[in-house]
Amino acid sequence: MTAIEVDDVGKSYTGKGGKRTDALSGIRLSVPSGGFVSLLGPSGCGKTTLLKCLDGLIPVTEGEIRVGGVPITGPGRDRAFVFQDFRLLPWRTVLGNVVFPLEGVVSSRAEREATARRYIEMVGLSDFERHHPHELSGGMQQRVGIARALAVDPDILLMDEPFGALDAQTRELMQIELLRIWELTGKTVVFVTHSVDEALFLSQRVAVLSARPGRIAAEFEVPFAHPRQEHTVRGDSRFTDLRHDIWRLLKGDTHAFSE
Amino acid sequence: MTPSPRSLAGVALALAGWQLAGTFRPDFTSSPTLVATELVRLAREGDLLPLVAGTVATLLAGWTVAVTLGTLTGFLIGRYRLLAVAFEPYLVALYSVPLIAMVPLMVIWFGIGEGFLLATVVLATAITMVFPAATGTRESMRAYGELARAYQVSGHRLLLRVVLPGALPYVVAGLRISVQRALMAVVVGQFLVGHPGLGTLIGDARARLDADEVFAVALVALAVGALLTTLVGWAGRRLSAWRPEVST
Ligand SMILES: Nc1ncnc2c1ncn2[C@@H]1O[C@H](COP(=O)(O)OP(=O)(O)O)[C@@H](O)[C@H]1O
Ligand SMILES: [Mg+2]
Repeated sequence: MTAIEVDDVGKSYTGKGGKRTDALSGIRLSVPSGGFVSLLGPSGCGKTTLLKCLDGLIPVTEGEIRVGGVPITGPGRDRAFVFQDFRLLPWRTVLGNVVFPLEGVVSSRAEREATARRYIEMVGLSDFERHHPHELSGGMQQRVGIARALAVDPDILLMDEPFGALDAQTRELMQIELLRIWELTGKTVVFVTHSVDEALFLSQRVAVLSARPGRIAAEFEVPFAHPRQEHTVRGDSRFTDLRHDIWRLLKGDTHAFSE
Repeated sequence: MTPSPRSLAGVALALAGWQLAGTFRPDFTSSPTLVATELVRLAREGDLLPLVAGTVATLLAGWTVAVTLGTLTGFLIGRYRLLAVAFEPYLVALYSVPLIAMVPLMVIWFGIGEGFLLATVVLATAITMVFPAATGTRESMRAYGELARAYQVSGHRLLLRVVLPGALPYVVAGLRISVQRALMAVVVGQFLVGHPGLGTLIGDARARLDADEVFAVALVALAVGALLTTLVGWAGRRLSAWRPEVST
């Protein structure tokens, strides 16, 4: 079953003085239900734009996005967004932040908190539920961001470079955690990254975007079964080959890459 | 905040210097001992305490109205661009008009009693809340507006749970400035229309060329101001403990 269909989508921004920026052009993409798809591309190629279009946070200027076969008109409870900069409410505790999206939806406070606690536990922060964001490390803050997204029990998780602000070691731990949560919950995940290794380690499929205006340059199936073990995947020759192919594609396209 | 030994030494030195100056021309500079004696006299036989209490009561009443009005106005122009375009220029102009220019009109409208004083405090301080509240509202929306939309939080929930808490540090910064301005407005207001209070005490002492009393009353005003600012600062820190203070 298909969770998301992106049908010939284009997006251009109109800046001050009517200056137009074409961020996306002719995007076609299909994300299977329960799948894990990464959007990979150089900085500024429109990854965030595409993900926000998927969430309905910004309208497309061409084409159509369908979720569960229905064209989207805005954000909805079937999708939840994880921001690169965490976007926590600093005056609320961990529990308060995870409860936040449930407040208009679940009327019983006890029920809200029970739900929130379940996901706080899932991301391993039970001992910190009374802490404020500024008392937590970056990795812990993003765990809160993930718990908040999971709390609304969406079908689809949209993650915008969620580990981009974290140090290398934390990042690897979070990748393993994310796979565990994905396998546990069976959500559909669209994951934006500019790291080839991260995309390959996590996803079933990698869609590579070209530089502005962003188009899908190629899609790669990643042939490793889940649950994945970090050392076996990264050491596998098929991993190295894929990595090589993607790099060649990106290099031909742009030099704006870093890894 | 506990005073350091060095700052205590500084105060002692200043007092000693003042005392020394007072031995030459006590009618000009007064001196710490003369001022202390005068304070005791004022407290005993004068109406110092009721006058201070009355002044503070007027100040607090006016300030409360001003904070409510000013914050609400600031929130509205921060939230709705159209209102900002329509009213911000006038508010900026109002901010820069010297208060004293408004006094004749205020007297015509409100007389020279308590009503005049309240109106003066409101006029002088409401405006100091408008811009911090507007900035706070805009910053709050810039930082958390998209998050709220992503999680379909809107309407009164957006206002009460996102915009206002996010704007709070700015409002708190405005509170400290506005309470100082409120004290100034009430004292100057009393002085100008001769309404009994701290301002008139200073005025009377000045008229009698009584340096001891001028200093004594000024000291009381200073203490009231310091106390109010400290209290507001403390309350503000409690309210926005989750975040470092902002300055506007
Ligand atoms: N709100 C906006 N207004 C105008 N241009 C924008 C806006 N947001 C993004 N852009 C432009 O669109 C392009 C794609 O941006 P973005 O989607 O953030 O890329 P990425 O996430 O891949 O780094 C960039 O050139 C960026 O400058
Ligand atoms: Mg981005």
